[in-house]
Amino acid sequence: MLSFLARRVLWMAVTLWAVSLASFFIISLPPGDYVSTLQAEAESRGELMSTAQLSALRSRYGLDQPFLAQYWKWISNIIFHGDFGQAFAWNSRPVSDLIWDRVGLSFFLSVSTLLFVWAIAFPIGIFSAVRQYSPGDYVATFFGFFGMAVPEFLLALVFMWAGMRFFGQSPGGLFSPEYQDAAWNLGKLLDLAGHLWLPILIIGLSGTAGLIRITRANLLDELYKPYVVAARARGMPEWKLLLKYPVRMSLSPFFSTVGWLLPGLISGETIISIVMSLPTTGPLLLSGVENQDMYLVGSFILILSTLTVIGTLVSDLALAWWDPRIRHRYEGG
Amino acid sequence: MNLDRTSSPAQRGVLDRRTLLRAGGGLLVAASLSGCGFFDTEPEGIAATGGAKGKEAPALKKLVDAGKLPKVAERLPGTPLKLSPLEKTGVYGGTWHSAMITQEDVMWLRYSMGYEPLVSWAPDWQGMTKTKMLPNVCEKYEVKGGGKEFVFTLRRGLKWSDGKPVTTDDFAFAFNDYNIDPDLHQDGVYGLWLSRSGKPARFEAVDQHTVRYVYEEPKPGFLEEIAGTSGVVMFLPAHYLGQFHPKHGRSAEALAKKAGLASWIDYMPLRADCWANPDLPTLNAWVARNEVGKGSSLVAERNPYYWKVDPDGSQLPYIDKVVVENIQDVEVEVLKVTNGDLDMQLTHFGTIRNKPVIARNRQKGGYRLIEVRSALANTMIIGFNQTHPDAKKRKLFANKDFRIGLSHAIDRQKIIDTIYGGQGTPWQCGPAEGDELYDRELGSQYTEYSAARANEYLDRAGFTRRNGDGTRLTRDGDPLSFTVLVVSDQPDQVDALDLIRTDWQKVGVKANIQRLAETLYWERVEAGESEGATWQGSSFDVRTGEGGNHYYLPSNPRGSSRFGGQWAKWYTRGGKAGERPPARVREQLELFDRMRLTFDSAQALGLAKQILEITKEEFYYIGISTPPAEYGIVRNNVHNVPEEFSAAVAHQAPGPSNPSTYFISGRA
Repeated sequence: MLSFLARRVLWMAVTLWAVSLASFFIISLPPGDYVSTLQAEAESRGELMSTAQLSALRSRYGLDQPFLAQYWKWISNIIFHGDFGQAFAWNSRPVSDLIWDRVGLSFFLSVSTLLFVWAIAFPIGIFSAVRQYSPGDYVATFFGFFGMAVPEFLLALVFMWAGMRFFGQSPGGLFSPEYQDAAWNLGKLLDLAGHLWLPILIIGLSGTAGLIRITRANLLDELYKPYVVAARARGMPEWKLLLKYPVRMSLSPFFSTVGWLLPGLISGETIISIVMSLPTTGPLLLSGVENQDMYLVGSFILILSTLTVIGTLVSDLALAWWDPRIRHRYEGG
Repeated sequence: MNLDRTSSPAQRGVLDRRTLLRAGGGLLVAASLSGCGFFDTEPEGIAATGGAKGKEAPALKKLVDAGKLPKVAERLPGTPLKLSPLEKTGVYGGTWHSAMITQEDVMWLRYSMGYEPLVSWAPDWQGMTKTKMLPNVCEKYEVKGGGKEFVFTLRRGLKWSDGKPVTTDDFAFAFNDYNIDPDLHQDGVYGLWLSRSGKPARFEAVDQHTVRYVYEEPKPGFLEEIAGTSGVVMFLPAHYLGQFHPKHGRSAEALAKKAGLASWIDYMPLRADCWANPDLPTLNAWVARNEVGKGSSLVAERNPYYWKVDPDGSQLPYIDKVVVENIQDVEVEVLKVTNGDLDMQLTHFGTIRNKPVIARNRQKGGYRLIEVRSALANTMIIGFNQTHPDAKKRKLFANKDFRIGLSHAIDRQKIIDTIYGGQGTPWQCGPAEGDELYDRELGSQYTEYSAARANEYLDRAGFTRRNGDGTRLTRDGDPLSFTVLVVSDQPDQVDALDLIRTDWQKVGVKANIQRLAETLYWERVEAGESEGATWQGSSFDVRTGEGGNHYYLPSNPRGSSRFGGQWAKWYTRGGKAGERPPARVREQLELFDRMRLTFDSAQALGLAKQILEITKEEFYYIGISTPPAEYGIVRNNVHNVPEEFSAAVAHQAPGPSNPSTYFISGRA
């Protein structure tokens, strides 16, 4: 187990290095850079930036250096000083400042959504498997696929419009205008809760379908295995039998999705956050990409991939803990 | 619970990271930390709009009575600036809710809350040279030596928002240690601060209340830039910012390192920006309480030391607080407007496409529409590259008859009706009506839709032969065709170009349309590779910078690269690069040089008119139509807001209309 861990960590470092290099390369691929974005903006306002100003900006941000030099400047600062560089579009504020500022809400949203998805998908998946091809199975499947098929941003806009039209709720953001600047009290708390369920529902809906189908398929595989038949033959109560053996076996997907939680903290469901004006990390990432804000986007991708890799490790470990078959395979080899 | 708690720092309603974590860690934790009055369900900490009136806001009066703030007479300068509100004097209280689209929309903050220049524009915009200029932060100003010398008299007793006096030191700091500091501007100081020789202007504190800027030659546009270009800084709180400059504060570098920045050079601009640094003392009517981008909105509160009063001598601003919500998507702004969530808003949502929705919900949302006159000169212009590397193409595009023929072939009214909601009139690239440089002939020449005329001009240009499908042939026998580049982010131009292509086909000219992402578009156009390219047209700028001038003459390589990039290169590099333009264009550039050195604005305007005469003759761009007016909204219970604004960048609306005199009363 220890050697497995050591091997995994070593490969993680290599993967991260490759990913960071590749992503930094991809960001710099499109023609132009942050300064040309600035210039185009000035141009569209009918203003003008002189060539001296432009080259001054380029050298200030180090954009006139070759790709590898820019990459080295960035990655070495991270490794040796923990400094993620500066966000150009943010008046050169430190990237790390900007990112961690928004992680709180992203974290809350991700965890709540995951819990929501589990709470919905788990019972429905079991129900669908046990009552395969029943009307209930079809209805559950329909809603699962519906949530997956309809784009999230559309759902968000429709929900927001409906909330405004029929319930007089103020669209977007986390608070109604009257609470926007109010001090914390029960009213404000209720107001926050009144706004947060919507993104959770919308983001969650799209994730449930997959999990429902996986649970259903896994459970169906198990349901007709001889050990289940044998237990049933011994006269074990049906629901107890179900929960104790096959359901346990079909739970693996829940553990493999734990790993997705970590990157979710940072990526923060970008599109929903933009549509609903939530101050998560997602919109920041998008605007960074639009501005070709290399250090901001590069840092995002680096942190994202780090979290993905760590998350995968965590879910592998959780899975090994949960499922003896996996654990013993490693002990054997 | 309508207690006013404006000055208590614990009442920061902004959702910062800590509160978010609290919310994340369990809503109850947040509950237990939030202190008294928790089980109230009414919004707390919001000031009443009780219609109070007096010499100062009730909340400030309470602080004065408690001995926490000096008396209002001591906070105001000796001669406070007296403003006459547009409709009537107002009452204290209320919150102005508005919105910005992403945290990068700092412009809206500057225009709505941060317009406090040394000299300011009068509220009604009549163009750069005709709009009156009023003393604002300074008590009076003088121009001497034919425009070489600018003298400003400060208001005695004027104070920063932290109560410290504004002195000539603050002007010296802004000029010497900020604007022309060689470390802060390692690759060149902004041209406004320099004489033509490249040496910085001379700054002098004449006495305790007078400052003077002296240039080697007349500096046209100096006052206009102060009044109208965001980002030009004339004064900074030296007592506060000194600590971040190594010349004044010994720990400047350490402070920057502590903030996570490489050096004080990076830190200073952040500290000197009142939207990024809530600690910065300002002269604004409302002072930001949180950093922009932190939390879901920017909140600003009244400046207790604000230095303007209404005719009754009551200290402004009337409105207690401004909350600018940070929205990521314009559609959400539209929803919020229709829901009546925003009190006064001018930007982003006001397009033709949204107008029916916004107008239909006026009653429900309790607001009215206000007009925002477009600052643009044209919805869409098409430029043909007269310095194209291929000699044959260049000859084709330089043929004026060819361009006139194409212009006559366009059914502009159809484009206006189908794409711009029937708003606008057919127009070439020329200053629009109401502009000081408005020229009917320049705007309307060759706009008549006539296939006969188009054919006549194209025949005259030498393309009389046609092939089997009716396409005209060049002298070499090739079909007459070219490619027009358009930016895919501008759907109205893409659609319009499609209609134009059909129109051109009718007179035997084949156009290919290429849609490009904006960056790629500029790569091609700037490299001089474009044949035809579209954009929108701007007005000619007589006074400041070089703004929209490149639409009218090849004054800068990037802007004018659609029609004459090589000529502009020749002009800006002193003839060392690019290509010598034809005689008439050279004449135009000489006039332009003279205009840029003419301080007297009437004379400069005369020169500008001569420049536009040549533009008329040269006919660089084919234009489509005058831009439709945009609009903003004001809730019905918000008063003293003008019914009309100009969107001219230099005017910085709504700044000059004195938002500090806006007030809220009653229900919308």
